[in-house]
Amino acid sequence: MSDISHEVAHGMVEAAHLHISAVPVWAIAVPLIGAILAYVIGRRSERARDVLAVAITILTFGLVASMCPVMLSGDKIAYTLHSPFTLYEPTFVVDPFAFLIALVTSFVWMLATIYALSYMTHEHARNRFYLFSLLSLAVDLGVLLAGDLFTMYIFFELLAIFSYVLVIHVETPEAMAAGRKYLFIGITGGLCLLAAIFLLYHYSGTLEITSLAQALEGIGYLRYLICALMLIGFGAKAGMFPVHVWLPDAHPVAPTPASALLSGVMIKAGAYGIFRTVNMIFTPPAEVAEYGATVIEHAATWATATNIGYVVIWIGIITMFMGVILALMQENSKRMLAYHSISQMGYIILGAGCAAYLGVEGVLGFAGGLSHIINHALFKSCLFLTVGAVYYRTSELNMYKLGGLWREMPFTALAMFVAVMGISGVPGFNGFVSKSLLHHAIVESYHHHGDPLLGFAEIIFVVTAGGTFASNIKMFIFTFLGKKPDNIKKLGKVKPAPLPMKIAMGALVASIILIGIMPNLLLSIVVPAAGLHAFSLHGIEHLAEYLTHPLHFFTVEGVLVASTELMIGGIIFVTGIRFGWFHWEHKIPRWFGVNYWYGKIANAFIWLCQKPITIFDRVVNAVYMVSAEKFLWFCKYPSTRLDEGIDQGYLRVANGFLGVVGPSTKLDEDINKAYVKGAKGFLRLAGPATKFDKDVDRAYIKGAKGFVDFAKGPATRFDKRVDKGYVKGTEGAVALARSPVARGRRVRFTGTYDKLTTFGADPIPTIVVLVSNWFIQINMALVGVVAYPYAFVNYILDLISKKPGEPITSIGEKTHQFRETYKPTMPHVESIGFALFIVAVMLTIYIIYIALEYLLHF
Amino acid sequence: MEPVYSIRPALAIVISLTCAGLIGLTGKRHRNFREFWTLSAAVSKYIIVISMFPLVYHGGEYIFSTFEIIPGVGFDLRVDAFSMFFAFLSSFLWIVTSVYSIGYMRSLHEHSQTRYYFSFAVCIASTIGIAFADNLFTLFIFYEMLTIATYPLIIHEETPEAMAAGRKYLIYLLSASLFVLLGMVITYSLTGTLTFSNNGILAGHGTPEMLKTLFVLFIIGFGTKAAIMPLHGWLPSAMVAPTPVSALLHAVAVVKAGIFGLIRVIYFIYGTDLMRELGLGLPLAVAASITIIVASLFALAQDSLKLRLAYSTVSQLSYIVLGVALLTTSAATGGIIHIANQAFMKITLFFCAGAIFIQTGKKNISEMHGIGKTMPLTMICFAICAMGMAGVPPMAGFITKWYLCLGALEAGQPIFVAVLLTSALLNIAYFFPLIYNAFFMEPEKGAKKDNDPTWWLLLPIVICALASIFLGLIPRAPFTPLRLASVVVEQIMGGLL
Repeated sequence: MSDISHEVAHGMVEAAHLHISAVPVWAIAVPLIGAILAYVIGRRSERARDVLAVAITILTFGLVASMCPVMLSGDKIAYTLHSPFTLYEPTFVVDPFAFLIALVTSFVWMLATIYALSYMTHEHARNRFYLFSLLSLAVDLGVLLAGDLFTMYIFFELLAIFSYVLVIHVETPEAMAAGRKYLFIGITGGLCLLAAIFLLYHYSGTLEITSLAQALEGIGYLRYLICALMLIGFGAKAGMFPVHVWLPDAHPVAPTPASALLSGVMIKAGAYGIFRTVNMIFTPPAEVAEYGATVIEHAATWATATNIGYVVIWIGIITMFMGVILALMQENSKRMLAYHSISQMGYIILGAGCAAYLGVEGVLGFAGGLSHIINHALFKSCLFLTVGAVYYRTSELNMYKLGGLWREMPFTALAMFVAVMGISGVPGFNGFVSKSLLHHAIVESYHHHGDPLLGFAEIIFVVTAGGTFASNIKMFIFTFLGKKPDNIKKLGKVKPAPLPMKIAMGALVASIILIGIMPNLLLSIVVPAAGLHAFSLHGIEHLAEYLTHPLHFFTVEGVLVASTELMIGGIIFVTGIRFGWFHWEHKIPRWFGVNYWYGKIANAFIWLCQKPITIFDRVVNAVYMVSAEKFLWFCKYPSTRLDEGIDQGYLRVANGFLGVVGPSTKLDEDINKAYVKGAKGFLRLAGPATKFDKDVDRAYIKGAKGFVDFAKGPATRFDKRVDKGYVKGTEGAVALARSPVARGRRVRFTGTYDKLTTFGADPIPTIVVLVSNWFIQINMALVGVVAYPYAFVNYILDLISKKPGEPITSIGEKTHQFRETYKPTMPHVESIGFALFIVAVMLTIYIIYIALEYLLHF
Repeated sequence: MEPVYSIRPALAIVISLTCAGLIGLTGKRHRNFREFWTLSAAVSKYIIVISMFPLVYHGGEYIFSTFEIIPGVGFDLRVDAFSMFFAFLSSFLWIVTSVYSIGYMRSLHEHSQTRYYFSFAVCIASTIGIAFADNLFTLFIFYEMLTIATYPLIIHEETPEAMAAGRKYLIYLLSASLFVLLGMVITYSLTGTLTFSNNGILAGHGTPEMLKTLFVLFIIGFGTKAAIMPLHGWLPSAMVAPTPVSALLHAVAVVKAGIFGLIRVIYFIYGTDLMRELGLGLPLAVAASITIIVASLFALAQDSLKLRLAYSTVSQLSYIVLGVALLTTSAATGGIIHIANQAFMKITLFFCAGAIFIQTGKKNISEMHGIGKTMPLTMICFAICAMGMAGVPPMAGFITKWYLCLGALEAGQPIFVAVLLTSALLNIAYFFPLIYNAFFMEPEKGAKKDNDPTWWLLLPIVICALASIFLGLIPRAPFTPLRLASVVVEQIMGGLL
């Protein structure tokens, strides 16, 4: 162990200096403002926008890279945006760990934007693409450079939304479906993260991204829940099992530059979060590392980290193995690469897990994970870009329908070859560096406690690496070597990739090889990053050794492991081709995949919303309306009953009266009879009188006639007529005088007698009859009061409106008519009933209230 | 601070009523003149309200008292911070809605516009009356007035469906107000006063059982307007009303009047301490949580845009109830601030729904493919506010979510955090399909390009959408709802924020 490395390591572990600088804020603000600027300019000129977009990404990369000197010395940069008006003052803290990921993010973004210059000429809605691409860059950097969980969450949520637009760029139904899945899993993850942040804030009182393990010790198992929520939140973005299901759908459907960014860079925001959670928030602070895990007061905290680490290791193992198995079976190159992203994220998660599991000794896991984040970003985006270049010229993504292109696209072929070597971990390429670190870490984990399961995990690790090699080399061979299939021959001569694409791919290839040959370039920042975490000094010293002696990487053991992996890969490739294993995807039952169950759950949920919930809604509504109706009925029905009751009561009373009145009917009849008789008597009485009357009448008429005659006629006839008249008059008078004496007395006597007898027997009915008669009389009299003004008004109106000469009914007659048509009625019985009911209810309430009050007093 | 005796509170109410009279007199023949009355009354009312703002903002009060009706209870008006919060909001949104109404009603050549504007003015007068009421009695009078004045607006279309909705509305709300009345009588007989007080008036009166029963009466009474499940049935069916009515009255005035009454009862009649003592917060919070989740599920199942928004309103209103019921500083702040946040966001969404209906005649979400490409500005505003509803960070809804979640944790009830976040997810689930279908699907053939509505309609939409961004970006700027809500919470909780 050299003195220099010791010195370096020691320098790293010392408390970091804090530099106050606004560079991180500018690194976020430049693409944010630039995005809008590019959109506005893009509406005028596409050319200007392209130039601007590239310039912005270069500027952003420059800004991020400018922080390099500070980072190399292991210090931090911090900045707080002071504003009294916002809910929260966002802080930005950059340490070497965040810086390294931010650096590679802005680097790959720059290259992808250059690549897009030519690639996007085939696509629609270019303006939108650049707008959201630059916005995503800004918020992705925001996630990495944020100094507190709150700011980080905001950028994390926005990243899901902005990158969504990149995923669905082509707007085909399958892209929309993939985007939907992406959005919902992303947002759900974001909300899990938010819940975790709330809980962290509540129990620790701070939102800083720092070690909170000691503060969380007292809350029991809740800390595991918080950790799980954070892992789900970040893992959803990182493509971690079992929340990876969106990734193989969403990454391939995006346009290639966006795929490269999604797969290469954006999922690293999730990985970054996982590292922060597992290796920072839930592990003890760096200061205690020197004392090691043996210190009693930190033992419980370390135990938490170890437990979490163990689970995370296995999540990593499952993720990597599942990813590679599915990748082997893909035909579509982009989809295959997407599955490889899952698999490679498994390596990264494994690194985080090992680092936490090993505690202070976990520096190799940490360094391996972090290096793999960087390396994967480089080779995966390079792979996507090469696949995209082939697609750009041939419009074909199915590797089985490609072949023999290396002559026409030599540069692309070379780039893909280098990237394949990188992802397979061949010595001399960058993947070797991180994979051997990770392999060390998993082996060390196995030896740490001797857990045999972790020994098994190491085997999976190696097999996965072999599978990675097999599937990638398969893609390379099928795409560039062999014979051209017919569909490619039809295209004629395939042109090589355009210059911007070559620039992008070339830069990536260069960096893959550079890191592969000189791992110390990468490690010069990895070591300071590790220094800020709780790792033991000698571990960091061991790592720092590579800085001065990069060739120590290429040990016999490391190369041996790598060649084992390549051999396994070769076997898988050959046997796989021979036995057709690579077409098994459709043979696997669908229920085997997580996706299937997500789909089931989602469908069940939708069904739940559509069927029972809607039915429930209807039921609730129906219940309400029915109860309202019942209430109305309650209002109505009893009152109706009451009405009927009252009605019937009236009827009954009336009937009762009638029953009582029975005898009085007789009286009535008698009276009637008496009247009739009396009348008859009168008639009889009147009979002669009538005659007399008639006679008088006739006499008058005749008299008149006679007078006329007299005036006309001779005097002799006058005498005779006078004579006759006298005689008749005398006869009439005699008859008149005779009749009352003869009949009248008897009639009067009988009537009085009858009346007297009935009155004596039933006085009440008589009164009732009389009263009801009076009632009607009064009623009619009242009608008169109403009728007269009515008639009067009518008359006046008639006078005004009718033409002279038309008949006008007099007031008297109108009154009469009104009386005739008017039927005396009682007030509306229902309303009386209702009023009575309301009064009753009020009384009841009042009585209850009084009773309550009474009860309350005692 | 000494209260100031002033006629201004009364003036703010009277000006709308006068305006209603003038609208009635002017009538259909001079429609420009009639709309002039509406707008000028809206603006002058806003000026009156805002003239009282500075004093109230610093903790002062305005009082306007008239005659006593029963001993101890007068027809009195008082402007405190909470009154100002509500009055400020509704008088501002009246201006916006008036502009929108003019555009909407004229575009559709609606009938009976005079009746419409008349009722609208009366409604606003009642809303301000509710806000400024000094005691439960005054509040009740305006509350009833509001119910009745809204009826002609709901049945505006006069179709059988509208008439049925109107009947339903009356059944629900008039029966609810009986409960308020009963509760009021009991309160009066217990305490001998009905005047709101920062510390509540019921403490030390009656038995706990009595007070709990009384609380249930009040919850049913005010909760119906606030659409707490299962008392929400009238709200979705009232969506047959013209869109500006739905927007202002069912996102702001009517439903918020119920919320306002509820908060008055909880904090000014009962008081925080008594509520805690009786343990009344938790059951109400649970009821609110159920409403939040179940109403969101209902919203998912709707295809009609306005119905979806209506159920969303039901759900969002219970955010406020939940915040208030948790009885902690942050939660109460979150609840009260959501009155404003939800108002701005929901009114924009309704305005957009109306604009879509006017421009394309479409009411159902399934027909709205590619509408974002033909009506970009409208749909961008829609998307902003829909995301805000779901609580996506830079929008106003996030502020609510933040405070409510903190409040739930303060109250020691982390389960409500889960409720809120689930609801946020459901919000995404029912708003996002609309957004991405609008922007990323091809519009149907023959759809007009550049189909954004006239500026009469567009201006209110843009203003409200901008407001909901600003309320989320700079919530703590001076004179914003959040500051005012802090003043309110400080008064009722006695704590500093």
